[in-house]
Amino acid sequence: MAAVVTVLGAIAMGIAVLTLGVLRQIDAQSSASSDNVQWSLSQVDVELLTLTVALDDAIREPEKLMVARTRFDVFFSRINTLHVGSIYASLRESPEFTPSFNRLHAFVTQTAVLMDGPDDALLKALPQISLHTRSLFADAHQIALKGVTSFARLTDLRRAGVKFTLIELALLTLVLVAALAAMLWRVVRLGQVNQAKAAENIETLTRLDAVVATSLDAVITLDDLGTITEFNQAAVQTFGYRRDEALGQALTLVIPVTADGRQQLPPRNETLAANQRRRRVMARHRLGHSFPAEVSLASARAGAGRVHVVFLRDLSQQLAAEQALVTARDEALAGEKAKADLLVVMSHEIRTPLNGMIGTIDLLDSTALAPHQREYLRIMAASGRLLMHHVNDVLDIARLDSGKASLNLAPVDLADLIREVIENQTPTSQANGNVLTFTPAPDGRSIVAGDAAMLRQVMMNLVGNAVKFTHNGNISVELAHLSPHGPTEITVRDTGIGVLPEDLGRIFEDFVTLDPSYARRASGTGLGLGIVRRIVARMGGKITVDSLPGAGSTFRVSLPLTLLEAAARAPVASAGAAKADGLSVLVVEDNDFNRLIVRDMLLADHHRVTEASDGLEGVRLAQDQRFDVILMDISMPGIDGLQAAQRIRQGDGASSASPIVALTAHALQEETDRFRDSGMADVLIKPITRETLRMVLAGLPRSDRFKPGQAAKPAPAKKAAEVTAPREVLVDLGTLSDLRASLGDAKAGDLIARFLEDTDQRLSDLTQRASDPDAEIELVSLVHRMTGTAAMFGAARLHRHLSRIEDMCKTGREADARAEVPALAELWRQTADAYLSPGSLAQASSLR
Amino acid sequence: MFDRGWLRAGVLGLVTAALSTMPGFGQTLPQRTGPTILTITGLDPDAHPGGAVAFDLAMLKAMPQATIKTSSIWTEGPHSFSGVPMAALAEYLHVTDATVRLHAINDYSVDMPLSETEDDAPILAYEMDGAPMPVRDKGPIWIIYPYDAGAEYRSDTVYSRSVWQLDRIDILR
Repeated sequence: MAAVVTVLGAIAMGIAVLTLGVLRQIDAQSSASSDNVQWSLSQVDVELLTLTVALDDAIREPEKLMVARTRFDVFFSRINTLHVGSIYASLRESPEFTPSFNRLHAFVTQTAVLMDGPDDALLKALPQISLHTRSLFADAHQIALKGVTSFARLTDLRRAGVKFTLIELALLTLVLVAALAAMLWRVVRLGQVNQAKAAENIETLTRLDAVVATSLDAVITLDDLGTITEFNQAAVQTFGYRRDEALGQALTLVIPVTADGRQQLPPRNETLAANQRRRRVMARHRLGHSFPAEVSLASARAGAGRVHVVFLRDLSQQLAAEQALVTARDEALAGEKAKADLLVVMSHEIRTPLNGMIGTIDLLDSTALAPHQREYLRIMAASGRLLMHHVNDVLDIARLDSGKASLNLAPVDLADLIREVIENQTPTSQANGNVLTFTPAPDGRSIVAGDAAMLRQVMMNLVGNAVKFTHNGNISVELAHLSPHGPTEITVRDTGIGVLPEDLGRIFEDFVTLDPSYARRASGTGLGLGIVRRIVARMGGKITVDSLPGAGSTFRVSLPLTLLEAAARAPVASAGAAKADGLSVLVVEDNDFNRLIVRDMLLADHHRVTEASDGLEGVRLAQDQRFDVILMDISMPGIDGLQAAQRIRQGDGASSASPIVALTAHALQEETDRFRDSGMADVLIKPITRETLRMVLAGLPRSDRFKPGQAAKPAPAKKAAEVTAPREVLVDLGTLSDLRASLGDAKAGDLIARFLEDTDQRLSDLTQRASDPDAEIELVSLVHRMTGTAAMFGAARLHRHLSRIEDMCKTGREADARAEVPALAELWRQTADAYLSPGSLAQASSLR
Repeated sequence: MFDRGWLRAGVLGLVTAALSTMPGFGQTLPQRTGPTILTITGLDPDAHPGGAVAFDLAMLKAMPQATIKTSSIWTEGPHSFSGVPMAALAEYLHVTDATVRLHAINDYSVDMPLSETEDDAPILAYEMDGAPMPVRDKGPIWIIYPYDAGAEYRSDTVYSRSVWQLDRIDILR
């Protein structure tokens, strides 16, 4: 377009210049420097002739001398004019002109002297002068002719020049017309395109207007200066201002500054990340009341400036509903808690006088009594003990339900524990005519990391029940590991009365006693199996029952207990292990795998471990007990690791000064900085190895207050792994071998099998949900869980890929993250193959 | 017309016209004493005996005067020409709206409508550079326009009316 204009301009300029040239030429012709030149030149001829006639007259009649003089003067004047006139300058230079003219000029100059002289002298000279003039006729004629030809040629030249200029002008005009035609065509084309565009724009605008007008959310647009340029119907209803009242005002009309003078929204020119665009504000109605609202902000280029769009939704009702829900939940929780508290308190309060009574009955028994009195006393004592038993059951239930029951893990010899229980139950069993037997695990391993008291309670209840409901039968207890790497399973089998199939589903519920006859035969609160179920669940295991009425029942308890090596094998000589020996450690981690691994690593180094499966539980435990170190996973449902750490720090609980170490599978640099700011002493990046764990524990002051940010550097072992695995090995054998070293081959193998199964399922679930574009998924949380596990098991390439997806999610590139998901399937296939290939595990072993 | 003339004179600086404050229009001129240099014929015989008036130099000098400084195609370089504006002469003679025929000693003649004269151009110049003009130098009277003042003064018509050696003006009725 600009080029076209330039060309047109140039052409127009050319035409203007040419036209001026032509005008000048025509002007030159009209200003006619030539005009009467031809006349003047021909007059030379005429006037010379006239002079000659006058001279001849004067020769005959001397009184006519005056006329001759005048005629001479006229001729003189003519010649003089030719001699000096600028118009004749070119002529004077012509060789055909000059000789003739010179002779004429010489004549007038010469003769002028005589003419100016006395009459008589002149008279005497007249014949001579007359002769002279006659001799000049040819010259005068020559000049006249010369004038004609010379000026005719000049005129021709000028005419040719004008013609040429006119042709040029015509050509240029033609070009201009062509260019104009081209322009016109282009303008017409542009017009058509613009018309189409305009129609399209109008359609779009109409559609947009409809969207804005019918939006249920208030839509307000601002220009660069921050004045309101659009205020839709919903905004009118939300704020009570008419549209014309709002237009031209500042946004503070409806979103005022806070009481302390702060703007609630960021400056318009600020570029906002995706997660900053949505925020809550207090908006103000025309009538003066404020209400909570959610705004989302967007800016777009519009013409020279930008247009800023504020979408706003009144949250009053939503917040009120949320508040109502929270209140309802809080009330319900408070009620539950009150009930649990009441149970605990009541049980305690009942236990104290009951103890007094039982003690007194014992004292009374040692005094002299009549036989029937002693019988009464025996019944009282039995009832008292039964009552005490019931109260203890209730207390256990309340304690387990209130979440105050934490696992105190320590090495336990399960076989010994079961033998104790059997020994304890043998008298009752024999009284019922039963045979009670125990079969230890085939591999003879029985030392596990567990809470001995709880395990004992489970066994007491199960064996106790079996003894109670079996008469003249067999009761067997078996300890086994389902596979070399599987969980520990305890089976209690009896040949008692059994349970009806329809009752099987509810025997683990609270206060369940089956049929009356059964109840008569065996007294109980019906809380026993409820307690067992709770404890098993608390330990992460499960309990099942098979039963045939009349034939007997089989209870199977499956517990993910970590098998420990026999004491003789325990200490793995290591400076770090020795130094950091015997710490009490709280592990807060929601991922079962990871918690298990960390726990077992710690137990293997003879630390005392307490576990919490979420942030709240972690905070509660830290409140009640003092731990030397708290290992805190960052990403957990409910309150996350950061919040938990802050609560522990800010509280005045037993562990408020204990160092907290963040566990994370993957973190951006600024996140790890944030961890430290939140009071984390250090950050442990998964996979966590026994070595890095030792270094971190050894580097920490055992209970002194620590200085944030001054913690141990990332463990060297981790660094080494990074250096040696730059090309993203599928499976980091170092991590695997470390896992084996920490947990033992069997345990590690078992865990890997579970890891493969678990990840398989999670991945297929994730791919399926991510492939549905409509599905809203919490990609980041789905991925994060796998990231952690992949790191712990040394699935390096998978871990890297998952981390990248997580990064994308965290930096607001949800769509990119989704696009990365499909590739996971193939990567996982390769990774799983690597785990399953016999070579890799053997290699991992040999790396040790 | 008068104003425009002055304006042009001022702007271009080529024409310096000075209308004399000497004997006013219609005033009687001195008696002719010197040789006649210009004869006017074709006048109203009632006002002028024989319909003719003869002027000597003194009479011309007694009329409103104007000076034009200009170059011409017939001379070399610029010269200062002084004389009586044609319009002033016509007014003096109470001739309006007529065409005059200008006659030269060399038998040249050309017609000029008085309507095409301006207040100060052309002039009937009788002095060049302050000296009277002999016949040999295109005297005694030369019709002069301010040729340098504009292209309109360099047309064929103007050149044809620039009569030198003028000695008679015939009023055509």
